Amino acid sequence: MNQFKRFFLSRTTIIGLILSALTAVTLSALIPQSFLTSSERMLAWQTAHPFAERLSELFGLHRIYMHPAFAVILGGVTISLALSTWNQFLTAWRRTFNPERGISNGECFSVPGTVADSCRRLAAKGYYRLGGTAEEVLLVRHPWGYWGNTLLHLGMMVTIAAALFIALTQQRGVIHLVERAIRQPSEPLLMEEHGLLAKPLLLPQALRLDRIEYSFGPNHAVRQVASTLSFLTDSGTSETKTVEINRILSQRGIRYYQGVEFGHAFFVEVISRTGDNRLYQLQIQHPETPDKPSYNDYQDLLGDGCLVRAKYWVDAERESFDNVNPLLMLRLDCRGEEMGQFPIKVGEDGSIGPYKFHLLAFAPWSRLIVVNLSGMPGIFLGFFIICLGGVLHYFTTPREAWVCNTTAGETGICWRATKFAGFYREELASLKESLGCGENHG
Amino acid sequence: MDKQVAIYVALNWLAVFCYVAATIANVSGVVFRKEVVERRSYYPAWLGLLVQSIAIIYWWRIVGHGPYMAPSEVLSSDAWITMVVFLVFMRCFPRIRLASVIVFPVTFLLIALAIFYNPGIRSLPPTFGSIWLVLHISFYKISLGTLVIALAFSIFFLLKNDRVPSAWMQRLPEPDSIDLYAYRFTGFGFIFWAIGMLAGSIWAYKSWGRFWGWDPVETWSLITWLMFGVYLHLRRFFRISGRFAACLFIFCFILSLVSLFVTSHMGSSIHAEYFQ
Repeated sequence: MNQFKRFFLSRTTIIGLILSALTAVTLSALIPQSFLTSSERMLAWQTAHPFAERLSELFGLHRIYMHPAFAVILGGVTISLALSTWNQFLTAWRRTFNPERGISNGECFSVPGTVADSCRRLAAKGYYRLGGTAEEVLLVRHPWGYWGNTLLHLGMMVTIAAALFIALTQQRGVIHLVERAIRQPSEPLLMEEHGLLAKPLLLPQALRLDRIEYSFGPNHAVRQVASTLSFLTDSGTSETKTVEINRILSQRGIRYYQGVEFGHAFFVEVISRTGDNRLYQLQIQHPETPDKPSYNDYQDLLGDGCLVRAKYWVDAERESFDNVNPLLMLRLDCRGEEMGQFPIKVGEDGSIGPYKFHLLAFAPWSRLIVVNLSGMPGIFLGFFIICLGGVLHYFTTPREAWVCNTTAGETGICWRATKFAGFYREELASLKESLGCGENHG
Repeated sequence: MDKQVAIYVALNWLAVFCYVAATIANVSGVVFRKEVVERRSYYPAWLGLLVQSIAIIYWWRIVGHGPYMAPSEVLSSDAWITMVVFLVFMRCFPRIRLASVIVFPVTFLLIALAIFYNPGIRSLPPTFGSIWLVLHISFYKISLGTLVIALAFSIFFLLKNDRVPSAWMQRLPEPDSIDLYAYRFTGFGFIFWAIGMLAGSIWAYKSWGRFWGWDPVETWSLITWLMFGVYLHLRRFFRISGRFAACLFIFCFILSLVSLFVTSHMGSSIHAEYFQ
């Protein structure tokens, strides 16, 4: 056990672990990570950097955070932090409640008067008595500063542990809800993610978007987006709640976040030359300004390998967002060539090649982020402990004064700042002056 | 609108003028050992701070959000916080007074650079209306301020250890003390950087349910923090000091500038709105 502790507390191990973590994170910043990069961009990077790509394949550098080596580094950091926190706790405890006799590396000087007089004067300057006898007393200014390093490392440990727990157990995904449409719990989430110890998230209830409200500020910037949702039960009852940007909604343990993405969904009926009739829902994000359209592409939507490209203006007159009278423009590209395009409004028809399009209706849609995770209180707690530890460590350096009788009938004082001694020379000078110090033995 | 921009730019120029005057007086006071001149250099510095504060508040009222979106706002508020951090720390630790030789020019260079960007009105995305965002940004700015002070002492150390140090260098504390100040202010910067990073992750969680997204800004911020962690641990455990420590700090400082001002241009993320 001692060897284990010695290994994880050795300065070489600690610096080695920090350097390993640094290397891993730096590599992840330089090499595209598969969980963050689209397959097209990954392929482009691989083509452009064949040597790096071979290395990346060999060592798994494109999935660093899923690599067993990274888990080992993280585990090592956590163990080392835990052991070091415990060691620092023991040191802080000993210094606070069972301090050693005397002070090493302090500056010593004599002052007139008794030990009790000096203690009284030091107490008036914010020094607390931590130990000693009637003849020998240890007084410390800011004794809580002993705990700074302990708390700093404890906070980091709590934060890392909570982050690990969240990464392993979180469930999350995205849903795009169209106004008045019902989303069943069995439908899969978009951009679904789950931790190694969790299953994909399934919403416990059916959900309906009753209404989406949005407002714009100057320059048409989105000011607020809010979705009114009905949570439907099997018995047919419903519960209505609203989620807004920066106002999270919690329902049956699932947290719903309002995304900044919203827009209009167009219900387009497509009739092919053979007479097949199919209904498609084309969701397009809200344009940024009334005079500019918003775009979306649908690869192989019609099952013929062609690309359907859509764009729309909220107001067909292109003047305002208040007047919702959308104009949809559809275009069909096959084998890289444009087959045709046409504008269409609700109730109108248009044709491209073998297809006839009919715009039946439109409705607003809203993007919601759904999250099921626990462990965030650990992050908050870690944050609080780190702040507290940082303040104690850097702003409240303990200053120790060992007060004792001398043979010359005066009182001897040994003083030191436990850290950054150079910063407190003026304080020592002022202390000597207030204690009536004459001769300096330092 | 043009009139408002003109007033804002004029106020910033006035602040630059004050800071330049403060820098000239300060540096000449230090170099030529004229203590009165050096002491009085703080008058234009305080005046510059006052003018800049008025400029920031004025622009805040016009654009409706704090100075943390457009490059001109970011650089100007960084300059302001650097100066405030220096003045506050100088009150707590009078021995850092000579760092003004670096802090004053850095302040006026930052604000002068801010003026060269178009101060157009940038609207705030709705997710940016959170107190955690304000804390997130503020702590990074405070961290930058403390790191500039540490930079000053690292540069002093390198200058003082030059083969033929200038005469004014005699006024600086002993190399050991300079080294210690650099170490301590790096520690402050490390802590404020950590708090800024954590406040950002809480903001992200409150806004869209994800506390860490590995976007370039987050990743490089973590790299910078780890690098400062390496610096601090090397100093503590391996007792590195002197020239190597000063050079390592300067490397870390450059990395922090890259994290703060360059990485938001590297990819699309929520941070892409910042400093564009």
